Amino acid sequence: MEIPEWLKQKPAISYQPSAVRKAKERFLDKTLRHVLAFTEDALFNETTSLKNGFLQKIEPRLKVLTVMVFIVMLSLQNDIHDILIFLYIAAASALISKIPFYFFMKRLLPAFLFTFFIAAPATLNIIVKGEALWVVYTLENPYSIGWFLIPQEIYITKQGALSALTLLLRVTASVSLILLVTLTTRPNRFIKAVSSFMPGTLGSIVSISYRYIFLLARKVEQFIMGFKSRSISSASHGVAGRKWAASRMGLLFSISLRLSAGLEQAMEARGYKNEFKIQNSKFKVSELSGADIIWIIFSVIFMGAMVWKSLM
Amino acid sequence: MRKIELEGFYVMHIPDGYLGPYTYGGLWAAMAPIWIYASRKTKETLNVSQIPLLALGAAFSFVIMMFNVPMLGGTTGHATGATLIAILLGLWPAVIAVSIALVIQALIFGDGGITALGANCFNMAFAEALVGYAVYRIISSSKFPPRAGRRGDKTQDSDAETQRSSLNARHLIGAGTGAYIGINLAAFLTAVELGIQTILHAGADGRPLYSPFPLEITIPAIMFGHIFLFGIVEALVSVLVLVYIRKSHPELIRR
Repeated sequence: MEIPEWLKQKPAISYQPSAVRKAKERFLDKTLRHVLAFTEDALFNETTSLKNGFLQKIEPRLKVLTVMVFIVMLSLQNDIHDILIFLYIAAASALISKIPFYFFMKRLLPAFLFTFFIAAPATLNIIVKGEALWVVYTLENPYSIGWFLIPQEIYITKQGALSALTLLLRVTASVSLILLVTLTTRPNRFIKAVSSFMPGTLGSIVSISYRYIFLLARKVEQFIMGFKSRSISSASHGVAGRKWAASRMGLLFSISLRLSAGLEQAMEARGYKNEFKIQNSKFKVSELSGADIIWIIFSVIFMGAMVWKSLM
Repeated sequence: MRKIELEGFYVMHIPDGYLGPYTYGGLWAAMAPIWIYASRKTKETLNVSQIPLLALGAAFSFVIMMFNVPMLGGTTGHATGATLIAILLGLWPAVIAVSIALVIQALIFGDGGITALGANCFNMAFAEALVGYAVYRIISSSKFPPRAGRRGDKTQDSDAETQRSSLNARHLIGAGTGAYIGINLAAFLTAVELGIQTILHAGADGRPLYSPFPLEITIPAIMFGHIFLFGIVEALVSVLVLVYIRKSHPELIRR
């Protein structure tokens, strides 16, 4: 059997040591990491939602609605003590819902660190003026860069520190609350619950879309694994890498259209007439569980207390 | 030496807690009629049942935000794909599709906030797609009949070569420019929304209650990365995807 011509050709760019190649192929690894993190998160949500914890027993629609109200109320709080109450509630709920502390923190950490690094400069008098708490550095002279003034003495201000801490705690509490819902509700029930609060068509689109995201993410994973297994040169970076990434996005679009055409045919075959209703049972008060009632009582008392406190 | 990793994805998604009630409430109120209008226009402009197409469009929008694109100096960047989706699906379907991708990101994966969802959708799903698509239409200055290539379309049987030639250099320049301007506008809006918090919400002692950075910091800080990196990524991705589709799947191009 004759070796085909294309196999005899040397790559345009020569083979490079693995360290160099690794750096240059980082875009593939980063994309793969995003895809894997996404599927890992979804899988982990499924695992924790099956535990026999308190929040897992609550009706998903009730849980989504109350947590949304909690998040809105939290966004109105500016006092650190009030925001801490929301954090305590999130921590206590995670505990009684048997969510492993390590995994909860692992999911929370990116948002926490992101806000921490964003908020940290706000503690300085360069950003927020105010009462000096601690002098960080003293320059020889003050500087001005365009409209931006850097004073001679750079220090942490009380107002800046309070402002940064408020932001950090508020973001952490918000993310904790939404995490509690996703970690304690089975993904398909969560999607149904979210869809039930949306107008008919939008709810159904969310519901279908969520399912197909996994399929498309799996395709991306296959694209990357296939590309990595075929490439031994650094040609995977730069222009070739960009072209490859764009071609996979284009292919993904054509796959999406093909899938949507197939889905449309399947829906038509099942009697679809431009209507799509999510099978969501009606919310009945008589079917509320003990956990639901406890959660409602707690939520009403808590929200009432927060409103009363803000009016005082 | 470890190279810088730039995460454009997070720069554009405003989380909960950064925006005060006036801003997020106002942007939720602004988005509500846009969603209603987009739903109506989608029903009018798509002559095939829109639900599967929009659902897959939203899934596509979600997944392309995961793609890292290699840039100069070993950096990588993400694209939001709003202008690209508007070119491929049409403006109003794109508004719905990108909004749904953002809803799923915020609710299920905690990227972007619940209260800030109106703001994120306004910036990325509406303003970016609208301006990006408008620039694309102006530069390409062609009339676009309904999307070709799907079952039920009148133009399904058009010759592939004609479709390929319908996407000429002007369309590609339009797509790149539109995507670049679109994402930069979205970034500018994000910067303004964050920057005005110090004006709208300050405590009795003068401390900022929400995002603590004034406009003179948020605008240069956010715009720098978008003008010099993420805008270029967005433009490159839009052009290269269209080039690929023109070459490999010309039947998918809306003319």
